[in-house]
Amino acid sequence: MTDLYLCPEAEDELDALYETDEETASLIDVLLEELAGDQDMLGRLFRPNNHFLYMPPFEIKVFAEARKRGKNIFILKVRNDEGELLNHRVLVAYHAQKDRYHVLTVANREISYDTSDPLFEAVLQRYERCGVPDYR
Amino acid sequence: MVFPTIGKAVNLTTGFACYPVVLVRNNHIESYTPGRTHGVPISERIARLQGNPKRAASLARARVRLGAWVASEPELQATGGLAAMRLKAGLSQAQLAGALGTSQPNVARMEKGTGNYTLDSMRAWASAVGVSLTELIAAIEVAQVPA
Repeated sequence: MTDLYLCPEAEDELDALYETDEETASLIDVLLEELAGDQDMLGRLFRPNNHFLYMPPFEIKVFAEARKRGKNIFILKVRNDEGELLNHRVLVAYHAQKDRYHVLTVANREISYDTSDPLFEAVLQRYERCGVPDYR
Repeated sequence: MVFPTIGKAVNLTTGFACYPVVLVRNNHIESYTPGRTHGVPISERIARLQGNPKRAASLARARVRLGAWVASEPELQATGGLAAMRLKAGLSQAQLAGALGTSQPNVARMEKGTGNYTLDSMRAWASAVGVSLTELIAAIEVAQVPA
């Protein structure tokens, strides 16, 4: 299984999501589990500057605002049965030297892209604590 | 509660490594516990959730839904047929591995068409995912075709 970790805060967020939207939370968990179970898939999907439309059930693209700050973070968007994007986004950091992935947050899309929201700063802190280097 | 803006991260509590650390930056507070910095592998998280019957049922339903998507996605029908069978049965690779008495990485290889197959293992596999042996072999043959 590929090294895919959830940082403690992201795990708490996902646990909390089960209380309000169990279908979304379980789908995110299963999708992460399946991605981690495929040695090749994560490597193919999480490449810099690529934007994958893997419909359904998910879509992956670079988080441009984080990239500007040297952070290697990708946005995973998940779709529901009707192919509609779920309200939550999963931000994943990739540690290229260690070939390791870190889920940094599972957050509502309304705030997951907002660089003025405190969550953005928190995500950058989590990135650092996971030991993922800056890439410039 | 409003925290003062502090230009750089500061450690408000210090002490033994197991103590929580609180970081304040730009009025946002974050706490974490040293030693958990890399977090939890998804496999461990799923194992924890599987211990809760309600969560386990929820995960099984999500796998069925994901399996239906994989089966309906034209680009995945060749490479994802075996995974779709497993998912439709509500099983993870680790759970199927447990049923077959093998490892999760071996199940991953088997689903890619690069595993070692015996008649006994294929029978057990087909039974675990609820398909006929003929259906399973057909899916293996598709998976073994080079992309």
